[in-house]
Amino acid sequence: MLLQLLTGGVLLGCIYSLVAMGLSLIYGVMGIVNFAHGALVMLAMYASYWLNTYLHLDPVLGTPVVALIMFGLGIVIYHLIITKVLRGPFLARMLVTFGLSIFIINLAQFLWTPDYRRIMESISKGTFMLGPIFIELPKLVASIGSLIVAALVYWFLRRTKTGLAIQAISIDRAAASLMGINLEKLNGIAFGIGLACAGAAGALLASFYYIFPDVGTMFGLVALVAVALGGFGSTEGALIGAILIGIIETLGGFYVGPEYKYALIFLAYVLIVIVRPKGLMGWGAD
Amino acid sequence: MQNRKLVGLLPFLALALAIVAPLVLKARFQQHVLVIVVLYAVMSQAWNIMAGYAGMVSVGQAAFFGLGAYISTVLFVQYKVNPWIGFLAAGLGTALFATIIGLPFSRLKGRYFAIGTIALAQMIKVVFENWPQVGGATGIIVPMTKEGFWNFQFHSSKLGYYYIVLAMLVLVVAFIYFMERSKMGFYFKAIRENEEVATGLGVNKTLYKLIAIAISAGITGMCGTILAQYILYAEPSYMFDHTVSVTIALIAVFGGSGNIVGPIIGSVILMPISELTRAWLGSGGTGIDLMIYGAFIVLMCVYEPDGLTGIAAKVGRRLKARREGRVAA
Repeated sequence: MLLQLLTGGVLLGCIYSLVAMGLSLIYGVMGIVNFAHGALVMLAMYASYWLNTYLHLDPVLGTPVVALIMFGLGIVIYHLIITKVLRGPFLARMLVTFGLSIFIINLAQFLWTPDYRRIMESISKGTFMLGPIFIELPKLVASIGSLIVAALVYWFLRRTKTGLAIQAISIDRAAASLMGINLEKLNGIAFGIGLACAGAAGALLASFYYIFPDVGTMFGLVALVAVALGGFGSTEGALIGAILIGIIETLGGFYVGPEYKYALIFLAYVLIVIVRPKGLMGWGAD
Repeated sequence: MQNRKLVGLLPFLALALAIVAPLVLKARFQQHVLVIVVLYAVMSQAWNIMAGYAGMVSVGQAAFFGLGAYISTVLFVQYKVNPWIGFLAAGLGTALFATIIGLPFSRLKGRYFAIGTIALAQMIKVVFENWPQVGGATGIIVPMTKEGFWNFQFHSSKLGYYYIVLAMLVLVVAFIYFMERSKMGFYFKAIRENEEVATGLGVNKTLYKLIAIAISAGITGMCGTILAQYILYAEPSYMFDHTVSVTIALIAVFGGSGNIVGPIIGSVILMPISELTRAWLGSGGTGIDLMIYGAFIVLMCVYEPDGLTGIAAKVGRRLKARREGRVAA
């Protein structure tokens, strides 16, 4: 039983980690805690739903398309909003994405009503047994997909020139700027990649999860806790935090009760951050 | 000289205006908006003590708000305790709770603290949703009693509630006015500006952080009692709502945080907009009212991140510069 729960937890954690990675990247590069991340995951889920309804595009196979759409949206949002608050006070930087989140969630409710929707046809369907463990195929596909996207982003950040430039910004903005890195352009790209991560996660989630305007709120909050738990500014920390949270959620949901699973995640966050005020692997300023 | 005297009179003028307002605006909805405006002004002032002065940005004030509402309501419904005693108990209970929670929380800084407060509010909400003795997710209905000051219930008009909240606002503002000029106020600001330096200069940072959290939470808890008596209902999804926390912070930011006037101006402008859009557009559940609200927050952060008092200061400086320029010329 424990093995079964742990597997479920890790699978869930993999999807969380993709959402968390986008958050962590955006925070690391421009110091913005994106409270709208969950709402954007929701938007990606709807994008996947409509692509499926009108173009019969499979949600799993459509992941790159949705990620690309979200990348574009990210660049637009960055140039319309984010760039203007970057030099503003701490509170404005924090509340702006709150406002964005409220706006997006209610826009979805206005356009598509609060009804629950679900994608019926997906290539990943059914369950199978792996030894003693019972595995749901859609979740396995989604977590593998998440890992692939995460690996791609990781490769992009570590191996390409643009990726290295983005990393340079998150280490020292002023020095990066002096080295001739175009901050404005790369910030935009980083924000776009962060949203593409949210988009990919949303598309993968859409293959097996209900879709409604408020669905992203918990994903966003959980991912945020994962990033904080891992420590702001650390991508590896975000991954570890997300998988830890996936495990806490499934174990807690089973042994304590499903209604308490999110409360347990938050409790874990508070306990860990009290012992380590900058998270498990965090560094830099608050 | 003349000018300074006038400025000194302004708060009393504003108070007189506030006292007369509900006698002119007699419709039930208008009076409802007045109650909400003043209630949120009080809560935003309380937030300001903790965040604007002492630098601990909370996005989880709903935790204290809901807890206060529940303390007085449970005392009243299950133990027949007078709501006024419940009101005091809510303040003390919430402050005590905040002190205990604040002890570990005072170690956290910046966004780790902010996310911690979100987590706290969410956890308490879940606890109350699954606590059958206090009504679980459905909450508790406050039984109607004969109206009157002593019963803390007014049915024929909202005036009673309005004057109670207004009195509370006056007390809180007076408190902050003296706090700003006391050692404590300076300690708070020192902690906000630089914790390490403040500690180096001999400020007991944990103690003063706890004091700020306890005062802020106590006032917010008492506001919870007032709202529960006002709507005669306490339920987790309303009392611990995340939007309450965001709105409280937003008002202070919009008005300008870290000073007395900001939260009042913020609430006077923001809450009527929010209540009116909800009344006009929110009935269908289409979400348009909140869409406007969200867009408004974004625009404000982009164009006026320093709040209205920030603009006022800017205009004041510019006027002064122009006057001095004229003198020089």
